[in-house]
Amino acid sequence: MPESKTIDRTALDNLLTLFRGDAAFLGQLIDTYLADAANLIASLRGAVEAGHADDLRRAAHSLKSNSANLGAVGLLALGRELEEIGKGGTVNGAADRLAAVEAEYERVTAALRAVQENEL
Amino acid sequence: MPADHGHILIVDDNVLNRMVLVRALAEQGHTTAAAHDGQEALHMLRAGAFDAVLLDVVMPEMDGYETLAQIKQDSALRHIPVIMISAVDEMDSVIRCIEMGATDYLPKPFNAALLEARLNASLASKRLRDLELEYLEQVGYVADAAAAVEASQFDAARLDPVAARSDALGRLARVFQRMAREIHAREQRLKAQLQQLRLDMDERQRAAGETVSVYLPMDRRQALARGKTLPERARGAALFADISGFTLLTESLAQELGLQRGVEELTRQLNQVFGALVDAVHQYGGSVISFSGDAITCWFDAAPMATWPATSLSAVACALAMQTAMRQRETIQTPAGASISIAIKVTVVAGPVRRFLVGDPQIQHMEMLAGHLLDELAVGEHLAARGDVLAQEAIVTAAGQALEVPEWRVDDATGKRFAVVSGLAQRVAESPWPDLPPDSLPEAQARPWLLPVVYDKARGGKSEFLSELRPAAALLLQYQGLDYDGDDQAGRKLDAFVRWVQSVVARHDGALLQITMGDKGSYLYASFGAPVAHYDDAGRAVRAAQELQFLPPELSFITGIQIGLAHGQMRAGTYGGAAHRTYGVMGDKTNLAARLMLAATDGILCDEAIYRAAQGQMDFTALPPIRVKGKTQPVAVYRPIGEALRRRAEGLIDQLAPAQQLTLKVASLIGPSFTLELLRAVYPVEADKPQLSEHLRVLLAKNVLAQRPASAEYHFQDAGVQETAYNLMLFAQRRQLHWAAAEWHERAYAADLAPHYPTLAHHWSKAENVAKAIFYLEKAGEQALANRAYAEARRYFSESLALDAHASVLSEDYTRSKVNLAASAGPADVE
Repeated sequence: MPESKTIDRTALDNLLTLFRGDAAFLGQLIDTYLADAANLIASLRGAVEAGHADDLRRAAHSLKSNSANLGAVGLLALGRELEEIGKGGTVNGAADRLAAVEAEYERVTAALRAVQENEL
Repeated sequence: MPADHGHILIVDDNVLNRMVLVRALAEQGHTTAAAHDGQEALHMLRAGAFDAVLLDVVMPEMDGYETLAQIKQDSALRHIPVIMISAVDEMDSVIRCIEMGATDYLPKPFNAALLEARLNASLASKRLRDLELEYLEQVGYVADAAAAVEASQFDAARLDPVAARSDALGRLARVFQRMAREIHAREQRLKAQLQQLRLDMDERQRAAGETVSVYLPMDRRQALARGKTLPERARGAALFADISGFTLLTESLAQELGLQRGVEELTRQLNQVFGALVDAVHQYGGSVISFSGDAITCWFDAAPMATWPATSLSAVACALAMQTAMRQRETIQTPAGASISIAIKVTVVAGPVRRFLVGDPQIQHMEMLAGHLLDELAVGEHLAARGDVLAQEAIVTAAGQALEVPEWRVDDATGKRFAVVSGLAQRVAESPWPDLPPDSLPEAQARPWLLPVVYDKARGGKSEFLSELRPAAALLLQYQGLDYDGDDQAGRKLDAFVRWVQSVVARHDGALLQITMGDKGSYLYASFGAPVAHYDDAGRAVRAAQELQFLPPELSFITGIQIGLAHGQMRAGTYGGAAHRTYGVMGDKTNLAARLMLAATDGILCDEAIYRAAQGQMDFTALPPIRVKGKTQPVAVYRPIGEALRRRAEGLIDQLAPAQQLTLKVASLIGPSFTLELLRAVYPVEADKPQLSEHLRVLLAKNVLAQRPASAEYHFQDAGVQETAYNLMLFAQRRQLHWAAAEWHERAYAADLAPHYPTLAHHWSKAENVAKAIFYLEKAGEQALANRAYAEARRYFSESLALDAHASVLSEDYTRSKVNLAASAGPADVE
């Protein structure tokens, strides 16, 4: 796995410890995360387009939280930014971050797939 | 589930978080359930038993704060630890949650070590809290139990769950349970005793009004009060009621309470049971004619009734009433909690009977039912079982449909049929006796129905002081030769025989207590040791028995005398309740004596206790052990010897003139040898004293006495003659002469009494001056001890102790020191 800021490996190691080394379960978890993150990103876009700050906040919170679990530090930071915007009762400035979220999602997906293929 | 694992509820809207936590907790050994939001979480918490909650703060619908608040408001959920789940950047919300009562928090992303540590800490505190709650709850049970004990509503079983604990609280509960049970039992006993006391007070109040007339059968009382006599031939119904269970009760009470309190309690119980039975008899117009141990024989006379079937119906109704009364008393609870079952069997027969009043009025009148009807009654009694009322066939036939008869019993030997009566098909009216005014029967007129000793106590209403458990000898004498039904002279003959028996028994200071015609034929029962006690009661009983074997010529119609003797613990005293009392002496050994009587086909049979107690006074032949009813092991039996010798001696004495006989008797009392001087001093008839040397000359000539050359001392040729002459004296006379002999010795040897200690002890003892007798026995014993004559010393001390035990004239300490002294005098046991 290439050196990257996309995934913090200590988070994955932490999860493996929680699962007592059950890599298969970590693999399932990664699948769930990626699928869920895709849905959350769609929700973010919907919220921004509809101008629903609260929906934005909630989806961003989940993305942040889930990304923290998997060590997806980039998505975590982006999720936190969007959550703060939502908390401010607005969606202003959020649209700008959506592209970055989607790009980062692509990187995270690639990184985690690589982990799945090479290590789990 | 192991103690450090729990059932955890995970509350998070985030599927990923739930997945991670469910899996991680499973890896740590916990079981889990997951809720998507607060509402669902509360629902699940109320439905199931969770040990901890992992609660996310940020959730849609109901968030973590509100969920936490609701948990803490619910008293059923409040104690469940709640661990908040929160991201590191949400620390301020965590603090708020801790303030609201959350136990801890868990930062996201989850760390395995932290999860385990925080969760386990929470579970441990929850467990501690649970134990604490359980402890407090169970302490509450104990406190409740204490309150219940105070309120007398304690149910010991309620503490069982607490008592099952292995810790200190468990022990407290067990100890408390035991103590509470004891308190409860004691309380129950006290209640029972209180009840007893109340009854007892009633009894005493009634006893205070007791007159000696209650010792007479009711029909006799009524007749005497009206200046009438009862006919010797009568027609009516005889009822026999036999109580079982009192022997066991006697033993239990003596063991639990000791002899004195035991007998008091026993007397109370006896009086209650007999009181109820006697009341029933009187209520139906019957009379208790005689008590024989724990049985009563009753008579319902047809004369005052309309017809005799009506009389027998009254008797059967009475029998049923007796059973009803007994059923209320069928279990007697002893103070220590033993349950003794008491029951009666009742038999009723009807027909003609002889009704005798016999005995020396100076000693005691005795009431007796006799005749063929009593044989019939005995047959029925054998067929009856505990709880039964049995009626003779003729009664049932005459009663028509009046009796409910579920069963018949047939005696194999006689073919006689008895009905088991279960009830009355129609009511039988009670026919109580009219009340007698208290002064209708003067005490002097009633006196002959009581033994003199009993009369003295009963007059003062103190008859209960005669009650005791004490060793006594039972003498049972069977006789034949009287045709009660056919012989018109039977009453006169029986009276002559009974008076003779009374005189013989009285000479040995015993008491004739009963005459019974029962299943053992006709027999007499005398006791030695109660109501008047001596240290040699067994010997007295044997000597009386030996005399009773030799009927005077005028009583030659009596045949087939058989005597059984047994010695042991008896309950003695007055009993029977307020309406009719008797004095009785009863024990296991009374029954044994009766069995021995039946086996004594050629004379006298004694049990081992008689032999042991009397062997120092007379000789016995040991016979092969015999089997008797009621004993599993063969019983050792003994026959006293010396009867032939005594008969020869009596013949010899009979040939002497009365004045010479008296001289010989007085001489016999002094001892195997005597001087004229002493004889003259002791001889009771002043006017005859000048003839004493002439009497001695005749006795020397007849070879009854002998005299050594140049000696002032006379001695008996034959020890048998001396003993026989001695025994022919009345007891009171002997006592008086021994007294005189003792005083003469004290005067004559005042300068040096020491050589005469044994003689003085002997005479004072026979004179029944117990204090003096003990004094000289001690002196004789000490003297023998000083001379190293240990066997002799032991004998004196033992004798002194025996006297002591009967007289209790000395303090307990003194007795103990004497026991030690006697024991140190030699290896053998001291009684």
